[in-house]
Amino acid sequence: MKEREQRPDPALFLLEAEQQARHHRLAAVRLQNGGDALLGLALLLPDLPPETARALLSQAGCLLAAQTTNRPACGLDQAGNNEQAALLALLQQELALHRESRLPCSLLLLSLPPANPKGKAAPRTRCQAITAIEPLLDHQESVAPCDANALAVLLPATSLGKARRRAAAIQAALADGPHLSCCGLSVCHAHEPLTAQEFLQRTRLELERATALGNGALCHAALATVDESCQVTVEERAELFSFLAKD
Amino acid sequence: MPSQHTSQQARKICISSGKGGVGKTSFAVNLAASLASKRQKVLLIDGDLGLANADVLLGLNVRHTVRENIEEGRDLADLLLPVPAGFHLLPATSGVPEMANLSFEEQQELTRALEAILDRFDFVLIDTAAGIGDSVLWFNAWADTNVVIVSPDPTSMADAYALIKVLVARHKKNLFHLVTNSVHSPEEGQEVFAGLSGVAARFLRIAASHLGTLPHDGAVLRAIRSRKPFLLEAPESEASRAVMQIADKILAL
Repeated sequence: MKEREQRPDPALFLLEAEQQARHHRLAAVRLQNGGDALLGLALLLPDLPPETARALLSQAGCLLAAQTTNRPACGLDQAGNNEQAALLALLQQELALHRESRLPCSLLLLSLPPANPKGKAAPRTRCQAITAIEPLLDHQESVAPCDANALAVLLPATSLGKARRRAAAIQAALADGPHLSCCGLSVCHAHEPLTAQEFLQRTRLELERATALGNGALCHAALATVDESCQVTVEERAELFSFLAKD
Repeated sequence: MPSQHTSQQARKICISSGKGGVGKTSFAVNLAASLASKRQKVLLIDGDLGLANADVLLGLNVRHTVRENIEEGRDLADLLLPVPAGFHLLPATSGVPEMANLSFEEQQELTRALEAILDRFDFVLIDTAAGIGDSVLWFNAWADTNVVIVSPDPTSMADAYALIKVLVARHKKNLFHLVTNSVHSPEEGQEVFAGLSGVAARFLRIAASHLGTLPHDGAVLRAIRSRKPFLLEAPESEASRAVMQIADKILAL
């Protein structure tokens, strides 16, 4: 009993684990749900390819959701929080990469039809939608649950025009089911200082606009900007020539 | 013109470098010759439409070029030139700025004409212009295999990376095959490849394969001066052996 009482606070433990990870060449990804509170920690090997890391983080969100599927309603809410935390971690990682490459990054949110009286899409429907979307995705792209009624599709290195075409293809794939999904799309350019939370929120607003319009509407947000996304950055050049300095 | 049709459409391989003078045309001509020596039906398109010089390295004096297809609607098949090295060349013009800046409609027309003759060949190689102009991007987008030539010169590496970045961002290309040229040792070629592919993997998250290394070889310069493929002029040279190995790798892709 005494031993149980001496266990550290879980949040403190996460912070300590995060610090320890630095000594073990591990990438620690904070799982936060909007605020500053640390809700979880994902520890990843540093050499993992980004797409593998994204898939693992996405999978973690799905697993947490699946584990709570059979719980009472409060469990579903917790699953939603976990999914969103995993999605935010995914976005956070992606935004960090895209600021280095300066390629635009697009986020697509797709509404799913409500399947029960509480207005939440059944997990089975979400799984079906994910299964339908996955074959359409390129190797860098990923799909993850966003909340009970929406899926998020992350489209790295994708500008507005291409993202709209990707969105239309995904909508068409989902249209084989009973409903046509509405889409909210947002493009983050490298010069925009958006946090993962802001990026998600901006896209969510577009999804709300699209849902209000209904009938498979697609609304998007992207700053009018000169296309500088292909310009080679200082960071890229520095790394490109770094091997010359070794001579 | 080859009389026998192949069972499937040709593989379209685009050869670019970003920077000029890296050895694209020399490599393209010799790769075409080496694939032809392996009983492949090969078409080499001179994709430097306004400043063509594949014909120069092949010792040809061409009178009819792709311009006649674009401006007069002449059948593309009539413009293909069989060359002694065993493949066909679609020659382009030199000193015609309009050809270097085709309109979208002209590009579409040319694409349709090229698609119509694809099934006559096993491989269609495109030797593009330098830079990241419209025609370079368009030929690369059209191709299903993208080869980038790079030398140890930092400006070559910078331009090759810029080209790759544009193709990733605008055309969603995600696999590049690199050829390191004018290197003094295989290790140097490997270093150049590792540097470029590492940056591309980190920032662009795309994969690159190393097709091979072409050594800095006097036989190459001598062959260029005599306007013949080094594969024919000096078949035992290091460069010839290297390009044959690259051809083997391409056949295995």
